[in-house]
Amino acid sequence: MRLRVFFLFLLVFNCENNTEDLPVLSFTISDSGEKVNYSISYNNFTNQLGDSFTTQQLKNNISIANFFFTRCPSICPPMRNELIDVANTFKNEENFIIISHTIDPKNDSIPILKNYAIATGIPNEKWQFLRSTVENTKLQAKQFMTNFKPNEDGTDFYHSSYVALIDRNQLIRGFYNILIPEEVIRLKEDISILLK
Amino acid sequence: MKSKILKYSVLLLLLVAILGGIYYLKLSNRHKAIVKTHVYHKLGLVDNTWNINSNQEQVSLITPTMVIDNIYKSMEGPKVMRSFQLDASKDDLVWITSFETKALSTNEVDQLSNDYICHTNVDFYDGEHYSRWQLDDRIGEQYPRLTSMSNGIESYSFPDGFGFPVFSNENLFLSTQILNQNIKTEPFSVKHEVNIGFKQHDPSMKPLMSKTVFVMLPYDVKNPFQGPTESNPNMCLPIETKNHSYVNDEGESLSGHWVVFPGRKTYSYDITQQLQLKDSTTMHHIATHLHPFAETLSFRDKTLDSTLFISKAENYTDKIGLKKVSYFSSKKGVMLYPDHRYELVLKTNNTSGINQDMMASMFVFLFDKEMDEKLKAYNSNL
Repeated sequence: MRLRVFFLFLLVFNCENNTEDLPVLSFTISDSGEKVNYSISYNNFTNQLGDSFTTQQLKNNISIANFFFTRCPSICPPMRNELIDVANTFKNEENFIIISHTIDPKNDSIPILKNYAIATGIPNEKWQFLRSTVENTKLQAKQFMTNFKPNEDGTDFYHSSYVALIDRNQLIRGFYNILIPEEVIRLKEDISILLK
Repeated sequence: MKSKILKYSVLLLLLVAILGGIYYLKLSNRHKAIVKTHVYHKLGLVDNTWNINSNQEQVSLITPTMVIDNIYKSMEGPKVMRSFQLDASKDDLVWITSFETKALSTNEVDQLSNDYICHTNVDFYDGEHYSRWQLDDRIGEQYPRLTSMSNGIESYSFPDGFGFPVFSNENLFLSTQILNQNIKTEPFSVKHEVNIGFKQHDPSMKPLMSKTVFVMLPYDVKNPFQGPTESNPNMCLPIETKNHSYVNDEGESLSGHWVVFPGRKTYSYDITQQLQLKDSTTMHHIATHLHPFAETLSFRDKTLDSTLFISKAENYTDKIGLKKVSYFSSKKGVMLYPDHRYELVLKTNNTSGINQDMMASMFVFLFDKEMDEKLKAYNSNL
């Protein structure tokens, strides 16, 4: 009996995924050379329903975030498919949301974002499509350690295919290139770790 | 009723299997390798795990097993990829200083011929890397390849006192691919071991930035596979028109992976735009990527009409492959200037009597002045 309890303890101990295993990546080195830790915050963003999106909505949630625009002809459509897959994987998790920021607010109006959201088939509360000014979105991209800029020919924007994983304390815990299948698997594993 | 359902289900399965089989047979060698590797790993038919070990000065990554069952030219073989960190448990600043890749037996001990290494690429996530140092304008400027090792140039170290600074929990990305130019036998299995050496932070270290420069040649986008003609003798015959195809400012299509015909040939390509020099700086290291039948790849200052470095490729004489490719490493460095023009000049000698494929790249490491200023500020807080 003792042996059985011991093996059970070993099994539980070994299977436990500790959230501490995921490093905290939201820190920068300031101009004066100091290491500065920060948490993700939101100001002046509106979602696809026209409602304000605030930092409060991140609290106690595990979220993943990316940057996109609805007219994107290149990486956004495959990114969207992968994000739909991730959303479906965690559809029963109350504390999991996806946040997509448009980098083209001029064309991506609230009704366009709403239609784009409907086409994903994912409920609004599980996937927030956010819009703000370009300047504010650039500041948000900086918090997520990325940027975006129009290509020289004006047909597309440079923007990253990475998504960031945010914990309940609004700290970045991982970056994942969602266009690589192995990275999607790692993302799902890390979401599961944080949800525990 | 039940037997009818069973009958139609079996017929449907059979149809799917036949269509799937036809689709598979029509795939290129490269895509067949992707499918086979995925199936082997998914079903656990071969070892599908990574063996990763990290200590104070090195991270070692041993790949899952890759099966060689065919001739695999460049970019065709089984490949594996994954992200990794030097040490996820710490966020210390460290300096990457050396790279090594080798082919191993599946027992992860016995070393095999490095003829089975096509390339091993190490990338960084430029968003995370540059944003951390407030160098946001560099994000997305260039493909964030740190370096590459390949057949003939499987290991190298930066000159003493130089390195690439990263935080130990920063995301890096490894991709490594099999090459097999010669062996046609029963299938056999290979692993790759990749070792990345690093040093703990030392304020006297000097930062390097990586730039990838490579030869690209124009091709006729309307008839890409009809090759050079008398009216268009300078056009190349691309290997494919997807992964290594580019369009320049004039709208011309260029390929970085092309066919070399039997005999000698010299190619040149202006790399000034690829270098994106904003200021004068020193060049301290060059790792070269070439394919068999290349002889030399020169890095030239066109403005001064001077050759700064010649990478020499030593080909095997009894089989297809590169025995050795020389690399450049200098503590003193060579000056590069933003108002000069630079070019790569490639000389090839295809002695095989049949068409072969070619790529010619240099992973150039320059002293990173801007990062050095950031590090001075960082060091003042230590």
